[in-house]
Amino acid sequence: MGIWTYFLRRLVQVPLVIFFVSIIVFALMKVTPGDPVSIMLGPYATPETTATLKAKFNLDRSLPEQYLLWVGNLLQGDLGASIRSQEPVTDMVLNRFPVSISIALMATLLSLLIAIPAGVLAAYRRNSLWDYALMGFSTIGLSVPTFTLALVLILFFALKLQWVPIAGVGLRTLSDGFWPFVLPYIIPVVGLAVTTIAELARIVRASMLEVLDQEYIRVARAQGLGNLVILRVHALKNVFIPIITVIAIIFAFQVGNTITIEYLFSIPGVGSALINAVISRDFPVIQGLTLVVGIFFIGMNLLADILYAVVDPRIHYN
Amino acid sequence: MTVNKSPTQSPSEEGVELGSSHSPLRLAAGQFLRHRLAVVGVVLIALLSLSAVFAPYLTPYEPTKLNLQAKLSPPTWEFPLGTDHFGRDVLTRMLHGARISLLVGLGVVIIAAGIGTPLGVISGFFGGVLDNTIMRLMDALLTFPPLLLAVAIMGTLGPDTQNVILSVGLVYIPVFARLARGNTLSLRESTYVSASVALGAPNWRIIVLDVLPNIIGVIVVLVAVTFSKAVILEASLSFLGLGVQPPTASWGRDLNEARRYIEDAWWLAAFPTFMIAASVLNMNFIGDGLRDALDPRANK
Amino acid sequence: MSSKRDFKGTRTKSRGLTRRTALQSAAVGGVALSTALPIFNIARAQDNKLAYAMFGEPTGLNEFMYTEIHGSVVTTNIYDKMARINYDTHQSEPEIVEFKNEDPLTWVLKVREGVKFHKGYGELTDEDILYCFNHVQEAGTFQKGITHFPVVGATRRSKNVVEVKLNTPFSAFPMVTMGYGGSVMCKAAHQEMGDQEYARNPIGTGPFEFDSWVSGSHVILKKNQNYWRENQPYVDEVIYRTIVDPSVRLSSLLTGEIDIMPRPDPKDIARFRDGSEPGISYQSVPGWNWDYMDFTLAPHSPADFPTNNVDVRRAISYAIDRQTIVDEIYAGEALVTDNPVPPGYLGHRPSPIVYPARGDVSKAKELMAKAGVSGFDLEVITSDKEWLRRECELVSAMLSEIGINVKIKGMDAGTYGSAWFTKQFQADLEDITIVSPDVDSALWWFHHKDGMVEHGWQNTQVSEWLDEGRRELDPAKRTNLYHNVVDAVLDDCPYIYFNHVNQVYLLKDNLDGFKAGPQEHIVPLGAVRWT
Repeated sequence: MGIWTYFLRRLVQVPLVIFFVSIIVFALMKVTPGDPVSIMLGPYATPETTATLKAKFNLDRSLPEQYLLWVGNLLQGDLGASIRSQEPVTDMVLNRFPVSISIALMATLLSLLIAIPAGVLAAYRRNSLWDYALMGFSTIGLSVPTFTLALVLILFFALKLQWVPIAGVGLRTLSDGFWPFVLPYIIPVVGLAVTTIAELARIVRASMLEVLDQEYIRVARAQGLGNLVILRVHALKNVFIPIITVIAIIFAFQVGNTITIEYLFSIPGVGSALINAVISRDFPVIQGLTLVVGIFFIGMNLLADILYAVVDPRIHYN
Repeated sequence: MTVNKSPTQSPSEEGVELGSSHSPLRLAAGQFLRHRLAVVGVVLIALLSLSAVFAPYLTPYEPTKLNLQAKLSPPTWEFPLGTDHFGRDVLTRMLHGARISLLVGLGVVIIAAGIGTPLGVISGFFGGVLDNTIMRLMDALLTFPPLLLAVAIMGTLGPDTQNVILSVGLVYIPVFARLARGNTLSLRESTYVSASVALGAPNWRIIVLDVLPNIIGVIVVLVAVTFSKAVILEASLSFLGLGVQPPTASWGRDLNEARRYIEDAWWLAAFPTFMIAASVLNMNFIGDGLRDALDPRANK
Repeated sequence: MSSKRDFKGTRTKSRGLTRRTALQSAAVGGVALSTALPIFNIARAQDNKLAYAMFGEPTGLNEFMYTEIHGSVVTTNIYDKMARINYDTHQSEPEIVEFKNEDPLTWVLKVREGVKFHKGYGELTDEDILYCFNHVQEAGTFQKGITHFPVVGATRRSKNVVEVKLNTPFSAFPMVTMGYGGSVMCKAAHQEMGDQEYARNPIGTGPFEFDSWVSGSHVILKKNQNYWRENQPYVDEVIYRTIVDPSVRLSSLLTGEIDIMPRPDPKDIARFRDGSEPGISYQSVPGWNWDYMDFTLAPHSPADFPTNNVDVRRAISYAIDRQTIVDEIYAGEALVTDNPVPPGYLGHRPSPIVYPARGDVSKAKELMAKAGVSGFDLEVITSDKEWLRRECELVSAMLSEIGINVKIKGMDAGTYGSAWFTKQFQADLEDITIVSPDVDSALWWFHHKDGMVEHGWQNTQVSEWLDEGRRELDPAKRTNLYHNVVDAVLDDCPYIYFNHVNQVYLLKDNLDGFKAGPQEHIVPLGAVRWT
């Protein structure tokens, strides 16, 4: 089976997965106690006003009906509006997705910038102090939850040194100046990046070691080529294969991982919006955002597979 | 981390060594013991489990009893790890918190492996529409970031320790299902199993006798990894206030409370962090050791 | 006791150390600091802007749809009220409308002239006031049953004179009705936009007009150039930022990211109370609210469940050490009480009336013995407010003294709302803000048999007193009636009251004109200016 048939088959599966995603979301909502209306009205709710509001948001209909209504609107390009804030879900996606994406993107770039040189160096100076230090960092980095790292960063850089503000992502635009715009991103991005740096550095080191052991490098060495030249020309090229294949997955992981970070730093991203929506049973927001997040993750997985297939032609498609 | 080094559908067709004649268990044990960090991990996790079990006898304090006269005491001889804002001994809470973390870890792998593995094996073995349905459902579950899915399920079930186990367990079912399916698929195509099928052996027999024993190795490795992830996820849920409820001691919850005192009382944040990191670290070591010993692909 | 003194000593010392280390690092990292710090504070004082930290995300800005604290904090400054509460006199005073009653059932409202709506929606007329009353009745908004129940409807008498008819003499009019229904909204804009759009693009007559809202991050209001109050507002722009975590709020204030913050973590208040923190001033006023515990009573819970025995409920009330809650949870920023009538309200009596501030455990044990209950498991639900979860932990320890094993269930807002609404809880620990300065708001809704759906206390006598209190216009007679109600509540304990929590604000000390009020959701900023 050729590579294109493989992609086509994967692509055909996407709608089915998305259907399941929306069903899962709906099923979760069905068994979940609580509705947005009684939360909105709070202690002063009367049965009468509750019923009026419920009817207004179609919450008095049966769940299958609600689902069909939602799908119907979706097909017309309407994601609905938040019951809580009345904000159109499309606006929410447009406002919040870029924030989460940009943080995840920055964290991914930072991870690559640090992990690749660090991993290469560690492999090249195998069993050196640097190698041990990096592997030590990597082991610990993988064991500490992201939110703990963020707490430590807050303590030192925001509270003690006061170099960066804790909150404020999404508050200013580039027109307010470069530093006011960038500073609030620093702690969340670094906090997010540590885990992936740890993971990536390991992968880079391992694949670099594999490459360095390979025949042609040994031959090159025997031929007396300078170490640096060997590194640059032969080895690095091969190291990029595993890295390219994990980039998409790392990036997607970052988007998922921003939840605790967004909660901690009051960042107006998708994660914090979703948590708030889950908490207040804001059904249209939960449905809309999970759908978008779902499609995003499916896309990233697909991209990872495609990259893998492109850079590593040895793969077979069953 | 959800970094898979292999793409979603890459059964390794070279397959797994089947039915080796010299005791594979002893071989694996030798392999594992050579992994020094893994042995350290086993010893430390065993120690942690023991101290969790015997927590009530190890310190003179109760984890939930308030002692307002002694609140926010830094580490002293009386309170080796200090006390929290209600004067509760931090050491005692750490030991009792270990109970929660280990219980959650254990419960989660039982649910995830116990449901995910059979699903994956059935899916991989029988293929067809059944396979497609199960795996697309698993794909759909995998679409959600683990924490988000756990948060949503917790919203459904309500905050409680059992519910943490249930929701985190559900989150990891598809991970096991996928791994089991991939490995079953490659086994199914191996001459050995195809021969059994051709000879007319009943399906359940092939699954129990030929498939399961051969995938148990990779599953055990995944169990160790999942255990450590479950510990982190429990801590994250409790940190968000959705997990274990006060006054029950939980590392994640205590860390959340410690956030308020991060400038005034370092010991409140330091020790839960240490406990989480140390137990995850050691579980990872064990996982590495198991991988070396049991995963045939890693062996080469 | 000695260990406590030790602890205090070390804490002061360590705090001093922290400050010094910070100073040292400031000196060392001087370059970085001097470049970083001005960036936080983009010179709002010079630009005449103001940054306020909300501790949650507003729901919506349409007062016809719902009310909740964060949205209300913003809308206070977008909409004027027909009448506003004067917190000193406990009376309402006219803002946009002057209320006069002709007879017990007829009120005449005179509308202020020369008031303009934001964004070119023209001058306010009697039409808008009529709409504000009649839309509630016609559309059945949430106010209808809560605050507008005595209102039959409004009609126009002459230009800018409106008549409101009541269905019964009502002593708490217009105060109760103004609690959730007094915002002046624009008929033309509301009809044109509909509820949904209006909630995201409100039009009012208040000191500030709506500019923009980035959900999850901030709301920006701009100065209303045509405001009817002379010279107000003083600042050109208010930015409301959502910062949920109290310690993040505080450090944002200290680094100059924000100018006013509500609800500091009580543990941080002491250093501001004594004025030792330069540049920051502190305001604290007694709050119109209470922390309380209540129970689902029979017939909504099994008749043999221990909390259906009045002696058990009394025992619980005696077992609560209210002073410790005030000290440990609120660091002293609260007032011990055993009843729901705060100081300043009609019928207030010095508290505690029955249950001692420090509790009485032996009395509680006696009552448990009398009830023949030796001990039981009690599930207590609470919402996601972190201070209430801590309070639950304290209460749990106190009740364990009398053999009650409390199981805390902290719930997210959704689960809590539904558990509560469907009476699926054994006990509940929460706080509530009283919407109006009239004592009716503190009692009727919670203790009348037709009131809140919450717990199902069916006391006919109390319900009669409460209804009489609404009809009765003589303050002395009302006082008597409400004393009777409070005594009955104290005796039967359907609710157990703990304390009234102070409203605490921290703000820049070069801000003038800010006045903390007893209601958390009302924070007017029109008179605030930089000095």
